[in-house]
Amino acid sequence: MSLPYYVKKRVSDIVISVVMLAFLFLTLLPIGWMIYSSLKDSTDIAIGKIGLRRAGTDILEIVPQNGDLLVLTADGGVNLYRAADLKRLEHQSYKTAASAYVIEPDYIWLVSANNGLFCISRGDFKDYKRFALPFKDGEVELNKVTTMFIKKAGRNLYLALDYKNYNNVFRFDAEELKFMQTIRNGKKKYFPNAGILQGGEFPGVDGEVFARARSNGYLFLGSSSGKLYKYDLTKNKMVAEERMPRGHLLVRWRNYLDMWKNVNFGLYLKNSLIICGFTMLISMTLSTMAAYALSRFRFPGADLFSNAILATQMIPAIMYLIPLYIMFVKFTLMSGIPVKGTYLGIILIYSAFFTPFSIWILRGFFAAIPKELEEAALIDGCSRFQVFWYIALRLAVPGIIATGIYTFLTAWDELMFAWVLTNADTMTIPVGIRLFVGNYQNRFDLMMAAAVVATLPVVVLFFMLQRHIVRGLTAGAVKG
Amino acid sequence: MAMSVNKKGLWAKIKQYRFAYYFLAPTALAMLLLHLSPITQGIYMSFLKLNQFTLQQYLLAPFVGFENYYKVLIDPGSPIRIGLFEAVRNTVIYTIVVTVGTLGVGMIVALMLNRKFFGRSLVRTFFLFPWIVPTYVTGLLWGIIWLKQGGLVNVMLADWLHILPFKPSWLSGPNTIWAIIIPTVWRYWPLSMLMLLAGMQTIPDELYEAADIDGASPWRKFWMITWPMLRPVWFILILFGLIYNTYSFNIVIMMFGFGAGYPGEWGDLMMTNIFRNSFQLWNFGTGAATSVLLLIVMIVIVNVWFRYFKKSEELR
Repeated sequence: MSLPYYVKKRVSDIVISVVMLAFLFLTLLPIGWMIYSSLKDSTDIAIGKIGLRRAGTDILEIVPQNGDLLVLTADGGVNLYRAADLKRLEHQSYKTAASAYVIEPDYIWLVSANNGLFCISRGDFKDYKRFALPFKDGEVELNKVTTMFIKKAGRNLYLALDYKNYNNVFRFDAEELKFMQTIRNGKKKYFPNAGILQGGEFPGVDGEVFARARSNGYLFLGSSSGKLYKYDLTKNKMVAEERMPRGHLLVRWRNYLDMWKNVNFGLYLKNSLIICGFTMLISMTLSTMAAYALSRFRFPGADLFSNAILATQMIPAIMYLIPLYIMFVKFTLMSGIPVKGTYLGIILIYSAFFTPFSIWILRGFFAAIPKELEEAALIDGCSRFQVFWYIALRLAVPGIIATGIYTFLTAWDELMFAWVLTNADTMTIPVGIRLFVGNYQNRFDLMMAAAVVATLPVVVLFFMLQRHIVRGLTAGAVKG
Repeated sequence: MAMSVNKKGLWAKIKQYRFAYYFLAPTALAMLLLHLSPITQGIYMSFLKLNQFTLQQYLLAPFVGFENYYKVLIDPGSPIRIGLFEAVRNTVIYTIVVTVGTLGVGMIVALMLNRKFFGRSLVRTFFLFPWIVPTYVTGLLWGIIWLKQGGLVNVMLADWLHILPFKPSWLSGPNTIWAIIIPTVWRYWPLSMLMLLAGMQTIPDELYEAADIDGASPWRKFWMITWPMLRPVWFILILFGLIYNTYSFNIVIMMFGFGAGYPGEWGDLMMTNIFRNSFQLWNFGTGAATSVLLLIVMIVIVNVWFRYFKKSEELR
């Protein structure tokens, strides 16, 4: 009470701003969640794991070399540790999934599901060559490959992967450095123990032991939990342990690729753009003319027409659906011109449907243009049409743009008519997404990727024309 | 009415305004062909026994008079009645809550934005974001947000904030009505906000200054100045809110079973009910009858609303 006015105002201003920003955060949260989820694993979404998964750092190989240890992990980590105190000397991560290694005197061969085959120099871990695996297109969904295998025999490397019934084996010539051929192996698995890492228990070790190495009376153990242990064989006790550096974050950009492969999204996008674009053009042409006529002239029937416009908004769209469907079919039977399932049919319907509301909005814009301007032009000898074309239309452009975009967005959003009146070639995005989502009910990741891609075009459009939309819609609102 | 005042004959007037008729002709033709014609057929359909066997005959299907209406309104044993009461109840709750909710949230945010502060237009643009998300995406997205185990809402309320002792199921049981109301409000309030904000900016400052001098509280200033001055805006918002929310379809259909499933007795709306009756149970006749009844109710509501508005306009 004793506080001066400006202090109270300042405090309340700050409080309101904080509340507003908090609300803004809550408002945008679902959209952020959608984008974030589209980069996650489907099961992570289903079980509610919020953070992104990190690649596992299971230690797969330990090789002693001149008092040091070469430690290779499942995330493509190539590390050099000092054997004496397990201090990390070098670290390089190749960010691979389902890694497998072959160690040679000069090179490390690293094969992975997501990145192909690496040949890494043992002298300098940063020095490598990469070879892509020769898959046929769409043959293997790489993010579903759980384990890969690699074996060296003579000058050849043999590579295989654990994926559904896929049992081809690749042969890579390590001297000519290229893939020579793919060995098709019938029903028999090439690597009999494929898919099972031979692990074991060891007292005091967290997780399973995948890798062991003995050197100077010490036993080095690498576990599935990503820890390296040093065990003193003479005293029979653990003397040191060391955690591997954390694995890379698994951001699954592949969701978008997978989604794009499963859904014919390019076609839907094209259809939606064509249909919504033409709808916007036709509907705006019709509604601009009608709105101008309604706002300028008190002709007989004007009231009837205005009421009819409002009445169309009250009719449930589902009432049109069957009659229009049957009208389309009958028209095609009579005239031979295909309408159902063509662009023409759906564009016609959308144009007719979105025109009344556009007239309703645009009428306000034309009413706001001063009549005197047009009267002056008429006196100067302009025809009625010239007045409309050169004066009214030019002045109403912001309103026309805003209404046009509103029409476009509404058409982009329409599901029911597109569902019934389009076919496989003219399907729009909502119908395509509905179909896709019905077929992949458990793939939440792909669903979210599809949702993001469906939203993206309108967001771009909105940002390009944001100023016009805000100005146009608000101007219309104020005029009622 | 107008004609009696005017000395000219009707024909002369039509001739005088022929320019307007030229401009109106294409729209009128489109509306005759694609609005009036199908709607007449739709109403006629509601008097026919139209199902999967008679669909081939279409308008020549057996005429049954008011039997469809009897089935929908009175006959307690007709299969069409199953779930109809729930759909009506849900639609009423949904429409009222969503209309009031979008208006309320839009009003609060518009009031918060109607001040001078740094980055105002940027904040306003960000607030518009939900409105750009297509409704089918909204349904899809919130379907995942409401998931029992991994949904964002349950994770936030139960795992992080510990407001809820357990994870409730949002997509089945009575919670469902909230699971469809909240996304709809989320999707539509930015438009209300934008229009209300534009309306607020036209209210002259003098009114508020005078109220300040009189020592009016902010609460009183809102109800005595802002709310009445915004009348034309909220009139339109409530009118179109009532119409569009009654006919809401996309969000529900995408959230539950993606068009194939039943949204449950607390999630079913009139539109999904009619759609299911027509296209999954093939009862086109009764579907049309339900639509016609809905249309009649809508016409009554809109007329009442207009009349109320006119009356209160005269009282001012």
